Amino acid sequence: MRKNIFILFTCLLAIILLVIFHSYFSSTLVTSGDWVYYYPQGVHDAQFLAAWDWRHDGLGASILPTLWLESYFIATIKISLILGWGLYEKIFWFLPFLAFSIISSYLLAKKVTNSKLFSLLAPLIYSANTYILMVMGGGQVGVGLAYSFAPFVILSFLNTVENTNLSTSFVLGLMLAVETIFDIRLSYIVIIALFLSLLFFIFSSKEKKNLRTIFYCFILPGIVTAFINAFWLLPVAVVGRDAFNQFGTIYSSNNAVSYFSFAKFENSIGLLHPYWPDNIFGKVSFMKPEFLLLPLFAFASLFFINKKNVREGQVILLFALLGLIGAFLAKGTTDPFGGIYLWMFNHVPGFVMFRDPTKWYLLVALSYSVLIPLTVVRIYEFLLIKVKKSKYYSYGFIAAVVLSLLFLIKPALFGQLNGTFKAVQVPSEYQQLANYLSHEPQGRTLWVPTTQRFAYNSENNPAVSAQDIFGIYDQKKLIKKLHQPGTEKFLQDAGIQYVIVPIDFQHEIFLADRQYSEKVYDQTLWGVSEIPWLNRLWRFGNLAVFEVPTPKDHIWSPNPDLQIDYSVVSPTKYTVTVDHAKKGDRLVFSETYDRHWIGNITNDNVELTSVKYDGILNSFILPTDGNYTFTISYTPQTLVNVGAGVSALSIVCIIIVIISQKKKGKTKKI
Amino acid sequence: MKPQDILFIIILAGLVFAKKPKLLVGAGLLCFVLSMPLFAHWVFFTAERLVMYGAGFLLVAIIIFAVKNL
Repeated sequence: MRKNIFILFTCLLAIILLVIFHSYFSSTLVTSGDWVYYYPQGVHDAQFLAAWDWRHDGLGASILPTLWLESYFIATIKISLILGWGLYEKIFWFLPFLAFSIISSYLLAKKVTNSKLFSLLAPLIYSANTYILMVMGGGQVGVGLAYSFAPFVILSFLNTVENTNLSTSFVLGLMLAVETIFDIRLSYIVIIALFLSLLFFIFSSKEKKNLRTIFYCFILPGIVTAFINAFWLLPVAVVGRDAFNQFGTIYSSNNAVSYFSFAKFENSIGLLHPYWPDNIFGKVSFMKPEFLLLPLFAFASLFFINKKNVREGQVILLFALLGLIGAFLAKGTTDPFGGIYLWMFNHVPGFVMFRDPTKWYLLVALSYSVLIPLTVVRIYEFLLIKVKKSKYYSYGFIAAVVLSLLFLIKPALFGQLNGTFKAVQVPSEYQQLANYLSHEPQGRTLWVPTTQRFAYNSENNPAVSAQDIFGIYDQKKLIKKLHQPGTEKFLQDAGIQYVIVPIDFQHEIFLADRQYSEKVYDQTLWGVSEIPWLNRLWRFGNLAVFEVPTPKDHIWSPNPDLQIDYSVVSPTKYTVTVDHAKKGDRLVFSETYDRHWIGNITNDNVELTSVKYDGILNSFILPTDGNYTFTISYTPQTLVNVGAGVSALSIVCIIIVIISQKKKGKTKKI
Repeated sequence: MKPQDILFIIILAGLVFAKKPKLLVGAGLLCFVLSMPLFAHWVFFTAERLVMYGAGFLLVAIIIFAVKNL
């Protein structure tokens, strides 16, 4: 009977999740929010573990600060050439999120509740709460993957605490390493949770093996994680602050963190994302009181702490505490005691990553996905034992819980969520442009005001956002800037071949008061059309494409007499030959200025440092008259290569140790 | 400090003195329950305060439980 109920509940859960995440089960595109789309032509030359990304911001940028997730992205992206982007994004991103979040939350709840049946509630809470639905809907799939993987890390930690040895410790390290690759910020949160848990277990332990526990449950997994992530940790540690300077103060100022503190305390403790359900940035909805049912269910588990089951009591206290801490931090600088978050942001190492405090919802989701099933199972047992006609009351209670959980995510069940929950198609105009550009020689495209998600972007033809390149985010000022004398030369110098005003199919660019505005589009189009030195190409239908006269090559010189020939070895290495150079001639290298770009003159062993040109590009001053052969390279790549070697070696060693330990264990049992 | 804050502190002090964490849990959950109709009727200030008090009661309950059990 119980087995049948389990199967019935499993089917019910599967149907619910299938209804919510139906768009993840087809090959149609779900590109939206932060989730990108690449045309096959743009995928070909993606290079694994390159420290510099040609496409980033259109003018190129260091990729070190996000190399963790980029490594997974670039390692898998070429499979999209075989599968097509629609299938690729599902198989390598969306479905793993779904599978991980269901399995991991179920296993974690089962570990705590010891009930297979009631643990089925955990995936419903963990995989389908408003926070993660908004995250996935907004296309933050890396965050989603890290979120879905977090319960595996906690589970490994609990296993290591119970059974402290080299093998469990290494497995925990592996899990934490994978979590870190998916998202460093969520990994940081998980590490905080592990640290608190460790303190909790140490203080509650009557055995005096604390140092051993600290070593196997925290220090060793930390070392394993660091070694596996050496491919990005090493260069970031050496290059240091430079890698993050490109983001500017927008990521690290107090104003930014206050601005991004959208959630109120009642939101965070109710596991209610402030943007639910519209998911429009900055549009915070009123508190929906029904969401307070979640903390009610979760914290009611505290009633079931008793001295007969000390271990369960500890786990309840731990997860309740994590839930409260998560709710407190996820609200950021809003009341109560918002100043504490600001203080932590400025003083606690690593906290600067949490400009957006909603990442701390992870702790709330983890907590509730464990505590709610626990409360339900204890109330169910109580009803079975204490109340007459108990079966009906018990089943009625379970039905009420499930229905109330479903009621909370009603918009998801009725298909009212947008973003990646809706299928999209590549508009024909953009496809046409991609086909055209992919046969063009190297040259950038400037998108006014910014790139559209279906903008063609490849190493040969990177898409540049006008807003980002000029640092102007006001539409009128941007148009004014384009009309200014000097802009034509600037765009030519930066190798901009076309200026494009996008068609805003998804209503996310031309906005007035967060709504799509045809008027804003018309004003932008008119403003760009009026620029005298631009010639419109009419072959792309409504997509307004304008040609920039005589754009410069990727490597060029203001001295027209200089003969330059170059070849691209990799995104971080170019070989250049220059003939008839005069002392003091300048060679402009059209990538975003970074002092780690250096020129090495072959044979002479002379190193040329990069000098800013046009305030944004790299350039090298040639020291003597004559002919040159030299390489331009991005030096942190060497550190990435060394780090990658360390990572690979670490993975091999760790796997060998885990397997040998398992074999030892088996031999002992025999 | 608002009158409701003073009331919260008095009740909290009484419950802490009683050293019965389950009473604190009950008070915390009651605060959540009471705040729900207030949110529904857009009485936001008091409702928000109740949620904060609820969390406060729960936090103190967890601390007392931990001290007793660990």
